[in-house]
Amino acid sequence: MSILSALSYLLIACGLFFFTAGTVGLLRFPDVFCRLHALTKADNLGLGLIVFGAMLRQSELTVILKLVLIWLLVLIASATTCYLVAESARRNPEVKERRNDDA
Amino acid sequence: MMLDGLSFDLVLSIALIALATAALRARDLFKGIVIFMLFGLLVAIAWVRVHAPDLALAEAAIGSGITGALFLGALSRIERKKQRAASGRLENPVGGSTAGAWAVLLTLVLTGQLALAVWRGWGYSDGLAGDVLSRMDESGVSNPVTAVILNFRAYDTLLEIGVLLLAVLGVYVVGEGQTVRDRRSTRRSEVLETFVHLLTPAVVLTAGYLVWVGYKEPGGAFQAGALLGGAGVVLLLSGRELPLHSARAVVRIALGGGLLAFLLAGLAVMQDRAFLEYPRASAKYIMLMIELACTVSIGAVLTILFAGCANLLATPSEEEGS
Amino acid sequence: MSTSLIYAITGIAIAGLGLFHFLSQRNILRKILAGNFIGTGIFLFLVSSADRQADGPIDPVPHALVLTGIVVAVSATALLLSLLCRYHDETGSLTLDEEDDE
Repeated sequence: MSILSALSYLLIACGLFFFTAGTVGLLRFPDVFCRLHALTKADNLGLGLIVFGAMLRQSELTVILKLVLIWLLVLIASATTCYLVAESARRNPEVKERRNDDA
Repeated sequence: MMLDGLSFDLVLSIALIALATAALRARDLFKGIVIFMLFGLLVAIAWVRVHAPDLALAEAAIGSGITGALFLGALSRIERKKQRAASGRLENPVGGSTAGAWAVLLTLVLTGQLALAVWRGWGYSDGLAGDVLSRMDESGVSNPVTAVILNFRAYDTLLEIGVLLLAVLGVYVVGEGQTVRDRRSTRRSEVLETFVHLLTPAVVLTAGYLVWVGYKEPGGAFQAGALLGGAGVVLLLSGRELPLHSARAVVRIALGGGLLAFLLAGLAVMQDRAFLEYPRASAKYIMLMIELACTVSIGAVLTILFAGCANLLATPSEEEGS
Repeated sequence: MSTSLIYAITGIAIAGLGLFHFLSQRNILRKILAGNFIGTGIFLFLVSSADRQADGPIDPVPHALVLTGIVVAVSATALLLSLLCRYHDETGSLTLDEEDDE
C-alpha cells in the first residue's frame, strides 16, 4: 500500500467520523438550532475530508476538479439551507417545536 | 471484496425498506414526505449498485428533489386552507376488516407473483443486451442507454414527451380560475437571492454538459431536463417571477419545442427511410439537436408542474393587472 | 445471492408496502405517496433484472424504460396532486368517502 493510498484511507476515515458526529448531533440535540449547528459544521468538514481522500485516488485532473466543484456546491447549498431553516424556525415557533418523537 | 459489496447491498436494502415503512406510516404527513425524499437519495445509490448511473442521476434530481417539492407544495397549499387537517392521524385500514383483508390479499398476490418470477426466471434469459450491443455502431453514440432512448426506441421517447405535454395541459386546466397566492407577501431573502444567483448559471452549465456527455457517458436529455426543472423550482421558491402563463409565446415554445424537434427530425429523414430512422453519418448530430430541445422542454414542463401544484400559475386577469 | 437479486427482492418489498398502503389509507395525498413507492419498487425490480449475469453485459432497454418511467411518474404525480388540490378547494375533503364530505 502506497503512502498516497494510506493517506486517502485516513482522510476518508476522518470524514466518516465527522459525518457520524454530525448525525449523532442531529438525532440527540434538543432543538433546531443545535441540530443545524451539528449538521452543517460536522458534515461539511466530513464531506471535505472524504472529497480530499477521494481526490488522492484519482489521476485525471478533470475528475479531481469535478470533486472540488461538488464540495463547493454542497458548501454553498448547505449554508443557504441552514440559514433558511434557522430563519423559518425563528419566525414560526411551531417549526422549532417539531421533534423527533414519532417514527 | 465481493462480501463487502454484498453486505453494503444488504444494509442499503434494509435501510430502503425501513425508510419506505417510516414514510408510509409517519403520523405527520410532512415528516412522511421528508422521509420519502431521503428514500429517493438512497435509491439513487441503489441505482449505482445495479450499474445504472443514468438512472442515479435522474433519480437524485427527480425522485428526491422535484417529486418531494411537488408533495410539499401541495401539502402547504392544503394546510393553508385547512389548518393542519391534512397531516392528521394515520388512518387505520378502511372500513373495518373486509377492505383491510382485500388490501392484504392483493398485496400478497402482487408480491407473490413477482417473487415467483424471480424464483423461476432469474438468470434465465439474456434480455436484449446482445441485440443492442451488436448494433451500437449504427446508433451514432456509444452510451447504450442513449442509443435505446433516442434511436432504437425513439418512438417511445417521442410519445413520452407527448405524455409530459398532456400532463402540463392537465395541470393548466385544473389550475384554471384558481386564485393565485399573493406573491408580494412572500418574504424575499437576500441569502436565497445570492444562492440563486450563484446556482442558476452553474445548473444551466451542468445541464448542457450532461446533454453533451450523454452520447458516451451517463447523461442525456432527461437528466439535464430534471436539473433545469430543479433550478426552476428553486427560482420559483425564491420568489422570482417566471413566465408561466400558457398564453406566453416563450412558454409555448419551451414546452412544445422538444416534441416539435423530435417530429421534424423524424419527418426530415423520411425521404428514403422510415420515420425516425436516422442516417448513420448524421445520427449523432440529429440526436443532439433533439436532446437539446427536449432538455429545455422537460425543464419547462417540470417547472410548470411544480408551479401548478404550489398554486403559483398566474391567471390571465392577474397577469394583465401586474 | 447476488447484488441484483438483493435489489430485486427489495424492489418487490417496496412495491408491496406501497400497494398495501395505497389500498388501505383513505387520505388521497397518502395514496399518491404510496403510489410513488409502488413505482420506485417496480423500477428497482426492472433494473435489477437487467443486471442478472454477474459478468455479462447489462441490458440497456430496462434502463431506458425506467428513465422515461421516472419522468412520467413525476408528471403523473404532479397532475394527481393538482387534481387533489382542486378537489380539496371544492369540497374541503381529502378522502373519497361520501360520509366524510359533509
